[in-house]
Amino acid sequence: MERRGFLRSITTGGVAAFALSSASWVDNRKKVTILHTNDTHSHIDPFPQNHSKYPGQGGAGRRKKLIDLIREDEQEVLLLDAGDIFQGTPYFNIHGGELEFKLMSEMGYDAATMGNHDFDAGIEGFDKMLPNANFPFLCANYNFEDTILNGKTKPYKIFKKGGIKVGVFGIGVELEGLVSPELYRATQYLDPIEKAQKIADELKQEHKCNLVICLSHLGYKSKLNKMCDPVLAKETTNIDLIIGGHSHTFLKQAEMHENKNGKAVLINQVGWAGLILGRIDFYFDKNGNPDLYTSNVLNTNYSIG
Amino acid sequence: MKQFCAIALVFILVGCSHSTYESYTAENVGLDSTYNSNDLESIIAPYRSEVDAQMSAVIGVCDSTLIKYAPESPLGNFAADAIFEKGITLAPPGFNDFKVNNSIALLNFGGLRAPINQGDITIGNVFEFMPFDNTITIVKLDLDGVDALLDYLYLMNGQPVSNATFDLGADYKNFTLENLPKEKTELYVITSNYLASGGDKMNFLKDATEKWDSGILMRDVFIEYIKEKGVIKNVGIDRRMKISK
Repeated sequence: MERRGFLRSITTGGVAAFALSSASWVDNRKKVTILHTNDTHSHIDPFPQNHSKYPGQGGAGRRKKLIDLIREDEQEVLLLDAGDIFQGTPYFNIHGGELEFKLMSEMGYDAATMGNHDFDAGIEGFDKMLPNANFPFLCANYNFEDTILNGKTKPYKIFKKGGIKVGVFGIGVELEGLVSPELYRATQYLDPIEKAQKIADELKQEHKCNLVICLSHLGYKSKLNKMCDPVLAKETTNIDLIIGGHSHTFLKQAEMHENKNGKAVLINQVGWAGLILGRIDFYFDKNGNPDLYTSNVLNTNYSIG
Repeated sequence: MKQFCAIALVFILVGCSHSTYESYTAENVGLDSTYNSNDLESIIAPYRSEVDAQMSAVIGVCDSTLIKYAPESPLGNFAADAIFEKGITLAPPGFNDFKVNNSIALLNFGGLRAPINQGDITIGNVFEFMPFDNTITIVKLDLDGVDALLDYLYLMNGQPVSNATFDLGADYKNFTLENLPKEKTELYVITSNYLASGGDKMNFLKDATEKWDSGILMRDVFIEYIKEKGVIKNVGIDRRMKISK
């Protein structure tokens, strides 16, 4: 009854009607909070005070503090990373990534994907560090079958968050021309769009995920290689959120894009070096009723970036 | 941190035919001293003391902060000049005509991972600037290779170079090397093993048939260079890479 009324108000009243009704709705919804980082690049300590761009900023301790504060307020939290955990400070050169994985485990990361720099100690070096990570690495478009990493990553993982199913998968960047072949060895790079579509369909249709998240290390924009997050968003369906990395892009906030069917896909990326924690709170209907809303209402209310 | 702390409180009805979210709010939060905490200190401390022991030695001073930008920048010039100065003293086997007037250094901006800040330079700073275990590699380019190099530099809006001047436009590609012999046959490029194998899409280096990897770590070269000079002077921009688009 209420729902029908709401639907009518949207079609007749438009944005204003929704804005009015939204406030009272929030308390009754299921809410899932997505927290994310990318390209932390072994930045354990804050930048030094004489750093030219980010003096005294960042630091793993502060990241954990903010995550803990959010966890005190929110019941359903997912903490994700979009790759390039390794390389960038002597912590990596001396300790090989051990501390990075230990700290992420301590912070309660739920999953991460691999960036190109996570190959910097070779896949053997990455493999050696894996026991320090208590969270899975999700890589859907790297075929590790003929390598030491065979069976040690997963294409996706489904998280149940208070009745909401969140499917998360990982998409990596093309390694040839970016990473020395002796580091990635027999790793095969598979077409990101084809693979992303296949996994997203599986998550949405077969597993009935309410939310599908792609951890992408393709980059927000790229110079010579046309593949990037806006292209991934535009060429696929069934992805709700792309958490990006690789290009070290500081997005002020999550951006709304259109997918292949004209539906909404969010893209977010939070620069690099653990300077920022990305946060997106999703609100779901309490019954999870699927047929409430007509499609493309968004497009009339919100300009697509 | 304000500039990164944009808060978006957007309630949007998201169109969908299947059960998915109805609205969202988004906020990217900057991690500044607001969130100071010692929670992780006990885990970090032993790792940090080992890092500090190895990294805190001061090896020189920088007179003003070196940063990178295209097409030419103080940081890029510093790096390319240091690699050229060392590279040209090497004797690649089989490259008998390798000399100053037919050699350049070529790096990539992407590989210079941190600025060199004004003040003391520590070993750790050099690790941050050059974290990769890349080695000096010398590649012999034929004339086609040189053409491809010029096209690449134009397309990429420059990369760090040393010992040559480039003036590149849509319909002209001028490349000047002091005392370059009139009968040009080849050019030696002093670079990294990463770029020599086609890193950063440098296919003209990957495709070259004659190359030699010295095995000398570029990071060690930078450390030696800084120690030797004592004071690193910001050479600024000397218009060695001019690109008109």
